[in-house]
Amino acid sequence: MVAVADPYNALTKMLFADPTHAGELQNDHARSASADASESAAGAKIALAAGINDGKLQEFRFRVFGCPHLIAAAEWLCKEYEGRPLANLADFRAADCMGPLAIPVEKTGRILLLEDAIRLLLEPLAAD
Amino acid sequence: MENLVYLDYAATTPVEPAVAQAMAAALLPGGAFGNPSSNHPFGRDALAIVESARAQLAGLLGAAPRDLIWTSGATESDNMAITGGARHRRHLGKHLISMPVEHKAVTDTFAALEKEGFEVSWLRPERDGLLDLQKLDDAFREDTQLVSIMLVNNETGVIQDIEEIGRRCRDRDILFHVDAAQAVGKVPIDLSTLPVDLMSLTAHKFYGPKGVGALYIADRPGCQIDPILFGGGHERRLRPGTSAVHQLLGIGLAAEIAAGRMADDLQHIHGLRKRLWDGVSDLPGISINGPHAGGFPGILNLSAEGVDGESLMLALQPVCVASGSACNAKSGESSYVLRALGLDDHLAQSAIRFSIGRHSTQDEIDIAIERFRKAVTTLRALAPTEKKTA
Repeated sequence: MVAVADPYNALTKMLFADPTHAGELQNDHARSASADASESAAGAKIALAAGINDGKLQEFRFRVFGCPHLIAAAEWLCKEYEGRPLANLADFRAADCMGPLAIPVEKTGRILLLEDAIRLLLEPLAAD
Repeated sequence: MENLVYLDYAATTPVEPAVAQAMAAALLPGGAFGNPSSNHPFGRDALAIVESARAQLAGLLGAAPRDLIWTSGATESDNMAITGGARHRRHLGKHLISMPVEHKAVTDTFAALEKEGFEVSWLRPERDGLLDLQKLDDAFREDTQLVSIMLVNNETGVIQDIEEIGRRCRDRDILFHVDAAQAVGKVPIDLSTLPVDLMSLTAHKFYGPKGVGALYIADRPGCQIDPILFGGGHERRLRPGTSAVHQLLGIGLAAEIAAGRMADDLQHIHGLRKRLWDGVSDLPGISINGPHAGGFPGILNLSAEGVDGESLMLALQPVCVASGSACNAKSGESSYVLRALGLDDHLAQSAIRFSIGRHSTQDEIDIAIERFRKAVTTLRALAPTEKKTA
């Protein structure tokens, strides 16, 4: 019998069901920043909040209004970059998570919201 | 599948075990596998099944058996009725009337006719989903030849006033087609009194097999359609092709069972719908898309403010429901039916259709309530602050 793929792979479902990085920053940090981005077509919205100590992304949180793939991608992003140097965040590309999460190509625009939010998050920090 | 909860009976229903068993037996050697057109005992056995099924379905509908044409389902019936009816009367006029909340099988057929030069008036429903009959009166023209309005809406459960619409059409000698895919076998229909000329139906919505349906064509002067398929004299020369005997056996038996169980089924799903609504209605920002009362109780379409519909669908698992209708669930677009009711894109996009059936249980409804409450609360908490409503 031909297998019909579930639209969400196991990693997506796991991150969607248990987004441990969802919410607000819980601790005080030397520096913090937040940014949000939205997409008018599907109404998707993402808000990122970063707590930075010694150039390190100590705490990374998100809020999302959107589809399961966007929620899982936001959780993937925070999980992947929390604890790493803040500068690394500029290297993030939507494609980095689209593969592991098996996100369909037609959702690329929505996942690019993460890149938009990161750019907005880093702008004021770079100016400091 | 054992841990899943199926609340998508408006998309399709499981075949009744007695129906499936009878169909399987018919397919096998020793069963009624003959060609009903064959003039020997195998053919006559098969023909007897075909005609018995016609009588069983006619009994469910209050129709004469000869007025039923077998088809592959409601989509084909809709195409046959609308296209065949419009073409048969094109020398009299090219104006047609329908609503944008009809199933795609109807709206797409009208769109195809527009390319043939027909003109279609689309009557928007009121906020409750009903057709304002004054709008219909205003839309009639001297050259109007066909009106198509569905009985039970597949997304909202709205029941249109078919009797009154049909009366107005008949007064003007206009063909009246009804897509009754969601109604047949679920709500009482008496075609011996209803002023309906053409009615489409399909077996898989009332616990029969997929791939078989019928078109009712009233036996009255002027109620005729042109064939849209060619290739033989079957089904009054309107639907050629060898009859699928086992499928027809299935629809006939399913119709007979539905006729016997309809009152109990309606009472059962009415109680479960009330339980479901009572279990979620205190959540803020939850609204019913469609009638609070008076519609088909098997469908409860809900919108949740501040919640993404696709995420809600996944968070509801193991409860299996529909976002929009099953036919456009893959497009990712919000429901055109709900948009036509006046919902904004975001609210329409958040809509979930629960549809309850004969085999639904209180335990399943309780699981759905618990999952829905948790999903809505969790997804709202996840959303950026300005989107939160609870």
